[in-house]
Amino acid sequence: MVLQFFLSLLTVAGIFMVVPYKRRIVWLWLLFTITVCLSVWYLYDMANVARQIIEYKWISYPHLRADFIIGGDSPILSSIFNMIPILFLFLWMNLTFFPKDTSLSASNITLLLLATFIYTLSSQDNIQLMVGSCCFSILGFYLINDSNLKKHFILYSYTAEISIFTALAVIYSQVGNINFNDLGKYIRIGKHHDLVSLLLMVGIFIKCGTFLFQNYIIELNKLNFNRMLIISLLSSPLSGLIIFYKLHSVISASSYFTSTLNTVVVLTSVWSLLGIIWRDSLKAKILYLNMMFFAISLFLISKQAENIFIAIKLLPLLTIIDISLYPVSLYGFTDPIVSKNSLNWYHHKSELLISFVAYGMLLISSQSSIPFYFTIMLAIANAIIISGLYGLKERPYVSWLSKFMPYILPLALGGVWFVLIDNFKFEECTIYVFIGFVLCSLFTPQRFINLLADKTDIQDGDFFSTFYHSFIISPLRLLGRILWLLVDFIVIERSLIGNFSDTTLSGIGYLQKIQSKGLISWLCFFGLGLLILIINIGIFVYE
Amino acid sequence: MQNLLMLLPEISLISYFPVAFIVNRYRDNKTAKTFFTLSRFFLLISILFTVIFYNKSVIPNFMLNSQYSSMFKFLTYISAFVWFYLSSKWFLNKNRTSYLFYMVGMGMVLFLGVMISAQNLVVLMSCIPLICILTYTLIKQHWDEDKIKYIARNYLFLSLIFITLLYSGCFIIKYYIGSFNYHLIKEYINSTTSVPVLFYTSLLMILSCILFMMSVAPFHIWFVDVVSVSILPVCGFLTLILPLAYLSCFISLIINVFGNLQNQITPILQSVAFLSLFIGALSANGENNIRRLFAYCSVYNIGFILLGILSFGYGAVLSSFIYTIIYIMAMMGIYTVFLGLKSRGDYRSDLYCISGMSEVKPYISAAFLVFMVSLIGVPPLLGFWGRLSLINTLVVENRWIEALVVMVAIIIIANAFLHIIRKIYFEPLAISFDRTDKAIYICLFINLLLVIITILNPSYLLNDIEAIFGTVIK
Amino acid sequence: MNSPFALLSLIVILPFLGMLFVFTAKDDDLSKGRNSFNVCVFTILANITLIWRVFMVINERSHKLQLKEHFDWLTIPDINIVFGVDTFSLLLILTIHLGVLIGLMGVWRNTFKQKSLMVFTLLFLSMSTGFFVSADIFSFYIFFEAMLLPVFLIIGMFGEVKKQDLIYRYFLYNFIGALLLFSAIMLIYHKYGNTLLADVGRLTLKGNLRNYIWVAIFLSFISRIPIWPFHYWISSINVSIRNPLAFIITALMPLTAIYGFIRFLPTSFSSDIDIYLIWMNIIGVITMLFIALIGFINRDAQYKIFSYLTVYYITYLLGVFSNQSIIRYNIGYSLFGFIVIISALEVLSSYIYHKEIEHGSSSQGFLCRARRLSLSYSFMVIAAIGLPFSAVFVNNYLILSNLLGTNIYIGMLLIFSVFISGIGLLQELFRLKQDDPVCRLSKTDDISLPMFILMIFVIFMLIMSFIRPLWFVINE
Repeated sequence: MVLQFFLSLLTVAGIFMVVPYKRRIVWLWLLFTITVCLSVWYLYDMANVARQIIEYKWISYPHLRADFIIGGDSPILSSIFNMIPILFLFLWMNLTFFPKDTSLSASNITLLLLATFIYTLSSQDNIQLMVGSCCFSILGFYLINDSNLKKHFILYSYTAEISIFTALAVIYSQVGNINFNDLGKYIRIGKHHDLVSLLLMVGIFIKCGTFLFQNYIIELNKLNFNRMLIISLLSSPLSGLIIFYKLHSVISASSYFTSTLNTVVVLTSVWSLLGIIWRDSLKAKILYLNMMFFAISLFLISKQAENIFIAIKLLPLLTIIDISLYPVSLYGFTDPIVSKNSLNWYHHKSELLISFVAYGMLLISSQSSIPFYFTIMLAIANAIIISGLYGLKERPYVSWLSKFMPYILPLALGGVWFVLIDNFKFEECTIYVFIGFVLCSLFTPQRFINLLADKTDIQDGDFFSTFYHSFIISPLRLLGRILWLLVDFIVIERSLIGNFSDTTLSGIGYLQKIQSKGLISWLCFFGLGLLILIINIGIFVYE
Repeated sequence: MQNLLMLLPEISLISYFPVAFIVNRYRDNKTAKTFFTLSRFFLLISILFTVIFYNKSVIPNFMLNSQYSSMFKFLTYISAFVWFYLSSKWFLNKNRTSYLFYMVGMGMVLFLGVMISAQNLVVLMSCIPLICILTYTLIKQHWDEDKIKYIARNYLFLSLIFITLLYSGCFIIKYYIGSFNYHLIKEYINSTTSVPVLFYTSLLMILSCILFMMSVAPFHIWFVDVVSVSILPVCGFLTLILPLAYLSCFISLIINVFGNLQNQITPILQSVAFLSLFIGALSANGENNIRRLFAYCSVYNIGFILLGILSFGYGAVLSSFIYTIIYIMAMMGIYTVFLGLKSRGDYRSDLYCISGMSEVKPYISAAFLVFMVSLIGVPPLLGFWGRLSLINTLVVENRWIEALVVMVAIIIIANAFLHIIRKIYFEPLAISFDRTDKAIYICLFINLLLVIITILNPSYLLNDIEAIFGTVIK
Repeated sequence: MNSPFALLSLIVILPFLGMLFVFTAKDDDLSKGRNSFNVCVFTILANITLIWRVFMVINERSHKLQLKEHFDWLTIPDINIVFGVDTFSLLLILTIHLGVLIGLMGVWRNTFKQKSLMVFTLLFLSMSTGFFVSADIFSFYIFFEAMLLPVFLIIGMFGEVKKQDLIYRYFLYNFIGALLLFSAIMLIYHKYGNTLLADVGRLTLKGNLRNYIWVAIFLSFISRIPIWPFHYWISSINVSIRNPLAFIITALMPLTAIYGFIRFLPTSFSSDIDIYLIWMNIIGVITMLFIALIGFINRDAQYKIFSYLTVYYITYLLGVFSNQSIIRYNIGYSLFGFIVIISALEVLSSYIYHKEIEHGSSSQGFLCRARRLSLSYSFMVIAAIGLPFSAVFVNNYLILSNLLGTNIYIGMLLIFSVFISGIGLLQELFRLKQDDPVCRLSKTDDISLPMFILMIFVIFMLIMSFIRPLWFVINE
């Protein structure tokens, strides 16, 4: 069934890549997709399968056995199921709110991303994992419709892929097998654990957009909301989590693992909180929020690999939170500037309520999984964003409330349904956190935060790019130029080749001169011949 | 009578002279082709009888017709035949009389043939001066430039010196042995434990004369200067016809006669061979005159051949011979191409004139390319076989230094040919060319066909030759 | 298995016959080389069909040379011409045919001396095919040297190389390499007679003879690979060439060296050459790093492609020297995808360059409206940098793993060089894809439909090579 689901995703995406876009077909298509998804998973649920694996032998080389595997144990199957709401949410969002944004292509890629998720999560060998990881990056790349952003995205992604590729190549060189079952063997007898761990961590951090590598994710705020959200939630960062899960044993084998990861997680969380505070763009704030979430997910997985399933379970809730913040950006602004555009919370209490409910669901679902300090950070982050959006005064906006209303309901129902399927239990501190969150959202002194909106250095400054340019790219360029001048020009051209050419040319020149003198040259050569004869006679006499 | 029959090849050649004289004197509407037609007739008869009487000798003490000498005669006559045919085109195009050229040419062919069969130094003493005089006559043909006179005079002067050396050497030998006969000389050398210095000196004198005739460095300069200024038929004749004959004579002398003095002769031959290789290869690089360039190439190739012969063994001689044949075929092709380089009635020889030739003369350019590449020895062309045979000989005989020298020289000469190839193919067209005679294309085609057949099935050439050389190298 | 219809001779001779046909074909101002172009393409397609037929006949899983053909040639010295083929060499033959075919698409509108270009291309194809089917040392050498001349002529006539000296040096240094190989082969012949290629690796040579032979063989092949100090003139030539077919043919020369190493390398190395292997690794990696860095800083797209080419060739070279048969075969399989990618990339790059000249402006943002060109170029770059769309990905994984296993530091530097060269290509891609409000190209400037179909076919082949990699694996 999981295979059928996987194939159905590919099929639907494929069909609608070739079918031309028309609105009525789009709705039919959405209906069809949802029906398929739900039917399959209904069947799955009915069957209550504990484990489902479909294998296809791909490479049967003695030194490289790679199979195409779909499926896995129950947690993997549950995770796949948990992604269906996200799929539904994104499809609905694309089709409803971005009809002009060639929503079919965004929706197609969403379907393909989910298929890639299934493929990558099912992997049991290096090749499938790497292929899946690359597919995530490429699909994210295709979603971006700005050339500069594309460039940064692919450069970061490529760096991450190379890093992971290198690490897996080292592992393969040590154990001679690409199967994850042999990772234990590598840990026992293999070498270069620290190097492999570092490379994998670098790759994962880049993919998840953690501190130092967040630029290419945050820059996505220049895209449309739907695309930005799909990439930041379903593309590279998600692949980073999966890779971490699959290779957890190898990564954690290094003695530097814990300290490095914790440092990065803390820095990322703090940086994302700061970003939420000082960035004036709503989309950027949302991206920072997602960044914080992924940092927390990394922390969870570092404790125990299976915690990824918790993170994946929380992902739809994060999506709901992000989307609940979305309607604000539809107020006729291409880039919603928070300091200039806020809604009167009383007039928009339904949207505000949705945001509170969304966060509440996340809080409840994560209360026993995420450490308390991270819960606080998330609460603060959300509160700052919400408080920035909703104020007492209302600035001019385009009213679209009448359009939005019919769609609140599915959103809410979906959220509630999701919570209901989870074990519903409250903890006491959860209530306090929630109350604190609500108060913070309503009464945060936004005016102090809005002061930062005027500081262009903070808003537009790109510290990390400058850092990379100054300390990595420029030295490389300089090194290249020096090597070219020194090695090619001086050593080869001027010395080796130059001397050899000059010597040969001199020889030719002398001979020409000698042979062009007429009778003199004739006599010279004759004399030379005589000399040779005389020398030979002399040698003969001597012997 | 029977003896006279055996002399028919020579008689046939001699018969040409009175006939040509009469035709020249009394026939009114004679063309440049007339004398070729005549010479062709007598040459073919000569070839025929050479083959028929390949092992019949009239005066074996002086001239011995064996398989070996007959083979060389045959090849010399064939080469002469082909070149005479091509030369006729030149004379026709230039509208000049070819009487003198064919007279002298046939005379040289006659004396070369006699020299090939020589078994006595008297024959050499007779033929070589005559050949020198005839060469002088050939060079002096068509006094278009003062330079020709000057060079011809220099040549005469130098050849007189070498003829003197030859005579001196021969008479010194006669003094020691009492005879000029090869067989007796050989016996004398084999019987003495150490030859006298004077005897050795006389030997060197004779060899130096032959080396001069073969245009081996450092005695090459006359050849290069002559070729650069003479008319094309003369250049071709000197380049294509003479080497075969001299080589045969040379091999016969040093292997059959002076063979026991191998250790004493080898150093000098080695020196001149090295000199030829390097002077030929290096000098070719600086040249702007194509004929002069190929003259140096000839010097280089002669050095190559000499290097191969040095060990005096069967394999060495055979490989040198193979190389010679390949060289002659390639140079024949090159000179045929020269006949196609006509612009406004003039046969051009400067490097500038062939710039961009491939645009207007693609087939001639292609043929030129094939022959040049063959001379470098690039596979799969015929020259590779020659290079391979020779270097194989050097390796078999553990002559590593010579092998290294040869490889370096190949690289240097390759550079010279690259310049020509660049001119032909890479540069834009410099001058316009006249329409090329179809005969040139036919000759090129036949040459290339022979090359291809030889590449694909070399054994058809080799089988009998191995046996022939086996009789020479004992 | 012996060849029933002299198939191998046929695939060697067919391009040669095609060359003669083209040479004698009539071409005037009206046809402007169209006839010769068509004949050339037809010949190559016919040969590819024959190659496919050979694939069907041979046993793909056997390492041994099959379809042997033996021709008596010379008696003194005793030399015969022997042809034989295995999957590896057949794959490389197919690779060069495809590479040249792709290159031909890049010159199909060329009118400058088109006939000459076709003649020399077919001659090169014939010689290189002969090279790959050679089964003994002399046959190998003959074709090894024979292919130099057409390359020289193609570069000189069509390469648009400004410094003529470079072309001489290129030819002469390759020629010196060929002569060194000749000397080594003569020595082997002198000692062992005409040896089959399969037996060369098992020769037991000793002392100075052994040292000279292997050094000569090593130098002869290494001179064709752009590794220090031979990289200088090779790079100078390659980056000057603007004709895509000429570039592709020049880019195939290092392939012959890699193949030569694979065939000639001894089956086992003695311990006293370990130090030389280490030095070779060091020099190789430094060259890669150096050229990758120059490619990174250089704005010329041609240099970026060349640096990518160099990095991969040196990777393959170092993989060959790891002396494991599995890796050697992987190199062969990887080379297939690699050459095809390079050829396609060069054709597209050259097309862009000529458009640049036509419009008289920089090519920044050129891909804004040229959708076919954009799709093709993007795919080729993504496949080139090693993302999983071609067999290059899996094979490189195996090769690089092996190199990392041999020496981790060298392996890391190697991967870093691969990374830098990949970044260089990506830089170029994004420079072309940069958003340009004034898009200088119009839809008519896009690549033609036939060229696009060819690119789609190439993309399809690359994807298929990824879906079914190592399809001729040996089950041990």
